[in-house]
Amino acid sequence: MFKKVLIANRGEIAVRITNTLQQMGIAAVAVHSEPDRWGLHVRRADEAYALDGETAADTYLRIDRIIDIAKSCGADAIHPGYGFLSENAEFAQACSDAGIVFIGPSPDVIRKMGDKMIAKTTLAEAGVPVVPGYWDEGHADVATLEKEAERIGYPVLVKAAAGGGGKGMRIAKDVKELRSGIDIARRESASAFGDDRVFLEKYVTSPRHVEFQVFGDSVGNAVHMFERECSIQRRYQKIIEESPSPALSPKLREEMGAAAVQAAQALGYSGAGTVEFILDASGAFYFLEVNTRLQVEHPITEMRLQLDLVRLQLEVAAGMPLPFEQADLNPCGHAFECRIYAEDATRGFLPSVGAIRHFDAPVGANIRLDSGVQAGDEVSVYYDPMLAKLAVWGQTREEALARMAWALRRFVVTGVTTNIAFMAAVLADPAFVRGVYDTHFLDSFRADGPAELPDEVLVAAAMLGREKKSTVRGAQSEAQTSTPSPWRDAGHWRSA
Amino acid sequence: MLQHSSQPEPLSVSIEKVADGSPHDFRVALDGRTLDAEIELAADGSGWIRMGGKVVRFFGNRRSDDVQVWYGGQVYDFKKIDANGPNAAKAGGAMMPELIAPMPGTILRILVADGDSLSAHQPLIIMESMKMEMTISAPAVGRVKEITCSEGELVEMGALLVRLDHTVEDEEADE
Repeated sequence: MFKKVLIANRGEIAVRITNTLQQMGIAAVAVHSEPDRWGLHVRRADEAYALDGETAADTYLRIDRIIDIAKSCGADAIHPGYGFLSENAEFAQACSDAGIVFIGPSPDVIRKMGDKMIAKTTLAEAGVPVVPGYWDEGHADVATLEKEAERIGYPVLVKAAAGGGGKGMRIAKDVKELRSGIDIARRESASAFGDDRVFLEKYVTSPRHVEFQVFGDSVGNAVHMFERECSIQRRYQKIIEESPSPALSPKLREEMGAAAVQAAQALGYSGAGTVEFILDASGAFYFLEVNTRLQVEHPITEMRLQLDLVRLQLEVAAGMPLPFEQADLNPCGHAFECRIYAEDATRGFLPSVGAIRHFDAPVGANIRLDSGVQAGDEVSVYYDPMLAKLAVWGQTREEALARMAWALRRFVVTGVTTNIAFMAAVLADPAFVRGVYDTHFLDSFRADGPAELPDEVLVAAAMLGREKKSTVRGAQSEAQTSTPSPWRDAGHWRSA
Repeated sequence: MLQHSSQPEPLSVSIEKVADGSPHDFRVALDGRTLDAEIELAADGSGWIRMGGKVVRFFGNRRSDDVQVWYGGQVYDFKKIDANGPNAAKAGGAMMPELIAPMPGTILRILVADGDSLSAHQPLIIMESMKMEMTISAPAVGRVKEITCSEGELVEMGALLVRLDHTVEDEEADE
């Protein structure tokens, strides 16, 4: 096993990886940008080294600097976490060239899965279902496209080959809409991109995002660790995940799990990966992409299987075989995860920056917090504003849901605005409670703020807004009230 | 006076220590009502309130005139306004009259023009920052006084984007 591992990441995932390393008696090495120099991941590490700079490009994405630090401090492996360099084939290659183990799959697998077209073709060849479509390479005539649309089945999506951001994209429910859709998409695409080629893809109505955790080792074993339902998304980013998915029957779960293992085997996958599927209302599922890294929402899988996925990643990277077979994996109960973001849900999920004053998380059996911050930390503009992940486990979905709702109600963050109350409102929505939702859920969801101000809130606000004796007295008062700690003499009451 | 972020009217709130009571006894006047409460406020801004036989926990954060209260899973934002100050006369006077860029980024689209009337939460500007699109919306009913940025412009965090006027009714009455 490794003696020292460098973590090329920050925030909660760096802390979470540090925890496992330290439990295994492995030294954890942190790297950090200038704004992160007092970050929790730095304070928890056994050694920490500066990446001079502020932006991600100048720090956590600097392959050369990170490899240099790993070499000079004597790390035998690098864990990339998620995001940043975790799916960068060049980085994986640079590690191996430097004689350092990259904790993840091979550069070749990362490269293949990083290209959506290659990923789709590779897995389709391996027999994994992909979204049916037709690629018009040579300016097919309308009659051909009509025939292909018939084969795919309506509704279909007409997309511009060169398109992006919704430009040149049309949904067609029948042949009439297809004709006009092709016409419009071609015209838009020709004028915007100078390319009028289009392709057709099945339009998945009421899609759910269901992904399977997979794990492979270097001696050819591959298993799946069941699913995570990730359809609650805003801006294409997940915020609430659960496992198992309320949408899967045991039969469908078995089929999708088998497809995920098939994908992992076809790739010769080693380490932790996630096979993402899109699932429609009829139970048809299609391959979306493979994430060749540890996933943000891995804790809910760990809770149901009583496994430490980071430990398994380290063992597999060190050349050990998986310590179990598929039949040994029997998930238990139900788990939820909520991602705590510093953002304002009432203002379009606008990130919120500033100093965190209180960060008081709920504790208890079957409640897990993966946090990258603590009270007093500054949330900066430089990185993703996810502060922490709250995960809970319960015997049943109902029990887990009640526990999560309680935990969110009890989770105190002040100083920055968070999405905690917003997520509590989602959890209370009748459709969510029934488990009936898809990836469009948040498009139409509106969380009502509290209807009225409770007296207790006004009393607390009045108390906090109360001027201290010194303030009333004079000139220094303004400077004093704007210092970060106006509470020092809060016990020093002004006499009325 | 306290202005809650989602309410148009400021509230008249005053608090005083009960002269012959314990150090924790306070009398709070809320828009004409009087409440007696026992309040314990710790050095970190958290505390307990005992009122009407019920004990509750709160967490508070004050930065000059901005007061934030966490209570029962919700966070409430207030602005403290001087009852005799220039803003107190107009309802909504404490509302942000200027919208600034919350992050550094690029202005993608401007959805309104100078002089437009606005409804609360109406989208004004779409900007891109940290690879994400975000919509900057009107905090309350009002009118666009002046747009001080242009599409495609790269702005710093804190750059002034739009000046707003939330005193529309007053002005219309004057006209």
